[in-house]
Amino acid sequence: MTPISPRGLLLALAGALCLAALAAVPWLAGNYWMRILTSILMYCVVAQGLNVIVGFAGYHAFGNAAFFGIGAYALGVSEVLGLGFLASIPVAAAVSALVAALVGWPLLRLRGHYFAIATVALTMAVGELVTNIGGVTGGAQGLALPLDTSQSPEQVYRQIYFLMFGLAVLSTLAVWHLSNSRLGYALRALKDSERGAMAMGVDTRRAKVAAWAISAALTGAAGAIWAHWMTFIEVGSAFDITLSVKGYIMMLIGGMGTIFGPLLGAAFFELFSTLIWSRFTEVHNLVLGILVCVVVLALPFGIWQPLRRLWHGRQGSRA
Amino acid sequence: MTTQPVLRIRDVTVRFGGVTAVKGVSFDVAQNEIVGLIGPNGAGKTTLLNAISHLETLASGSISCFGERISDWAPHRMAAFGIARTFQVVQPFANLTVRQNVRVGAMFARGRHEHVRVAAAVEEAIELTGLGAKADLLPHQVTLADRKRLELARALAMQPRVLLLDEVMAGLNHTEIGKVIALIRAIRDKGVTILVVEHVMKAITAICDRIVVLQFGEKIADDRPDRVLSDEKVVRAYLGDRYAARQAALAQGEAR
Amino acid sequence: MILQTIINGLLIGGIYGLATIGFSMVWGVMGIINLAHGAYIMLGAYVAYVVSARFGIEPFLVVPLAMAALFVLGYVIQAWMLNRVLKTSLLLSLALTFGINLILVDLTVMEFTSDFRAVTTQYASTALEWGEAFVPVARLGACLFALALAWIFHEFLARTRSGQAILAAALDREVSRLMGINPSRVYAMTAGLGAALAGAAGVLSSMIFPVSPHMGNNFLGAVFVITVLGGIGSLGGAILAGFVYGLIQAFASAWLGVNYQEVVAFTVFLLILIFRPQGLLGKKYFGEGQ
Repeated sequence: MTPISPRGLLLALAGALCLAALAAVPWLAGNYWMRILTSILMYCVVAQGLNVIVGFAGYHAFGNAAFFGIGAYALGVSEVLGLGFLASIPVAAAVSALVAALVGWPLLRLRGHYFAIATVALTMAVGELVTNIGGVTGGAQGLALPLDTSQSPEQVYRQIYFLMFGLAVLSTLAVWHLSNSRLGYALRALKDSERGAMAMGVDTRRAKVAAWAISAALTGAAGAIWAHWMTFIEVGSAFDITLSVKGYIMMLIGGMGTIFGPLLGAAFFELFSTLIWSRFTEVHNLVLGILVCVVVLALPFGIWQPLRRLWHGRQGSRA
Repeated sequence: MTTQPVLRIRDVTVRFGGVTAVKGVSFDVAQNEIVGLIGPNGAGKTTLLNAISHLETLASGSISCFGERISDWAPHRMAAFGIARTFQVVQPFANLTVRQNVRVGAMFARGRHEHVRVAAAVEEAIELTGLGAKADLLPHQVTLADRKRLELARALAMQPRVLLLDEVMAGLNHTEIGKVIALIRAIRDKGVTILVVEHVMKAITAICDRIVVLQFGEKIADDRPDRVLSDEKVVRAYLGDRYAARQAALAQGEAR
Repeated sequence: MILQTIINGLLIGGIYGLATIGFSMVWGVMGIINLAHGAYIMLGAYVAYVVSARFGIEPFLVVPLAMAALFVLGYVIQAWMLNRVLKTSLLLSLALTFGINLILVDLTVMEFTSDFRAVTTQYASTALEWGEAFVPVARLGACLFALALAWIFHEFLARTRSGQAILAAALDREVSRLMGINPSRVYAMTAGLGAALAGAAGVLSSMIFPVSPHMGNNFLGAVFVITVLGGIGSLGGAILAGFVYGLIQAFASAWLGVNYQEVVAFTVFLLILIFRPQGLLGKKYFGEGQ
């Protein structure tokens, strides 16, 4: 065990303060900021979900939004069928994970580009499927979730905020645990050399599928909470590929494969995005596009690494 | 001492495309033996090794290890069974440190994943290969010789029963070769059975109990080092017919 | 009925094929998945709209203009931006082209609004008769024109030095560099040509579909599938797969209803990826190890 340095202590303190501040938001800041932060926290979860399959395993699940939508609809259907909100969240996460495991078994055999596109196709296909099944999913008309009449809207929004917060913390803890666990090593090894990992005893297929299932569970849970927040969901917004892309860019900005990178990226991107939206509604996409280009060209490895190097004041990257 | 061979290679034939790289090769490797596999370039040595670790498929024949047919086992199953190999072109995990690289081997080999055992296996492998000082560096930050040693350390951390070495001496200098020879001997002393594919003759003669010679995919010799190296067929395979004839003429001239 | 479906599928397939060639070549040569390719198609359509609507010029005649404009755009984007992320990960080129796409689409929205536009021609509603089926003249003309362009491009690749350089770079990046081919120029060239072909496809499709800033995104989905179906980097594959895709869409639309078009297409797509990732005419190594 390495002894805790004064710097480490400082960081831990800063982290604790952040958590405390976030926990106090509903009372400190207004509803507007609570809503923005809920959104940011949601993206934190999506970005961390991506971090597991892309950052660790190296499989570019460009269409991870599929699980967001699956989670959203799973919760929606579950609530419509009578199961309460809180009980439906784990159901949604489990359904997403199950789909990932089933679909991942054949799809994760594909490499690089192929896998990336396959996941995009998956998102679109599932979206279409949900639309065409109709019935309890509401089909093309969308799905209206039962409204929570036992609490005031204020309380509902607060509940949602805390759930997202908890999920964001959970997903970060999951990534932290992953990086030192057996599965984490398996993923990092197979990311560098799949053949080498296999030769050293790693069951790469199982590891990849497990990673995607975890990624899907987290993303699905985020989608579930989002669905309850929106109270009305439809295929277009639930299975929106833009979500994946934004998650990707956040992960990129923050630094993938790291524990806190995605959080930074999500916060930065979403804040920036929100500020621009409110000022320049017209050129929103334009500025977003320019931002993306600038970030990719200037900081291909995210801001986490350079920041970290600055903080630690030494050259060379740590694994 | 078990009478059953650890590795049994029977009539193995490997083809790719129109080329038959390995043709009906058979030999055994006994418990704790170090067997060398040599032959001119293109003889099929690495292909045979790849066939054993299932990176190539057998057109015919069988390969068994400790009595089990391993010919169609997935690589990770073989690793769990106790078969480890090194690669000619070393491919360490680029984004993991030396220690972390070795750790992967220890974590996934032979079902071991208790925290303490893993750490112990890792440190042991690092110490045996002399990588202690550089354990926290990334692979691209250490020398080629160190990377070769890392390759060995990773294999060792897997606690293998059978070790397949693929041209582990290539690119090393005199002193480094000496160190690796000593290392291989130490590994054998721990009870491991070793099959070594090599070009460096000095190393082969120094460590092998037996040498198998391949030429054009076929086995042309299988005996003790001294006998194999003076075998006319082997000399001809390596140095060509004219050299062999000249040697024979010289020998005759001396006899007269 | 079946004949009509086949005709519908084939005619649209020709344009799909043309739209895909550029995307497929860029991917095969440089390993870049250009998410802005749809925008190139869209811009071609808008060039047709502006020139045709304002000056009343026949859309077919606008093709060279659109191609020239898009060539410049594609070349510049590649040379100044994409060439810089070539050596990095797939992720980055995807993100970058996504950003470029956002910019191009939003600029178009700002200039033209999201309203649908149309490019009308005199022969828009004329159709030939073949048995019980109708063959719309506009679509037939567009399809034939598309094939002609594809053929010209094929000849360009086979006969000119630049073309050969592109093919060489597609086959083996490292070796072609050793043979004196400047990869950056070749890549920019390929990107420019790819954009030009997309622009041409855009002009042709403007005669058939309504024009809007978001039409590119719809095309992109089809282009993806067709690229993989035909084999990444294969010109012939793109054309062939374009027809196949057109047919699949037409039949799915006729038998299952317009809604199921996409589902069927994507299912086919996923199946290809699982069972024959190299597509119909592709080589196994294209797109791998990039």
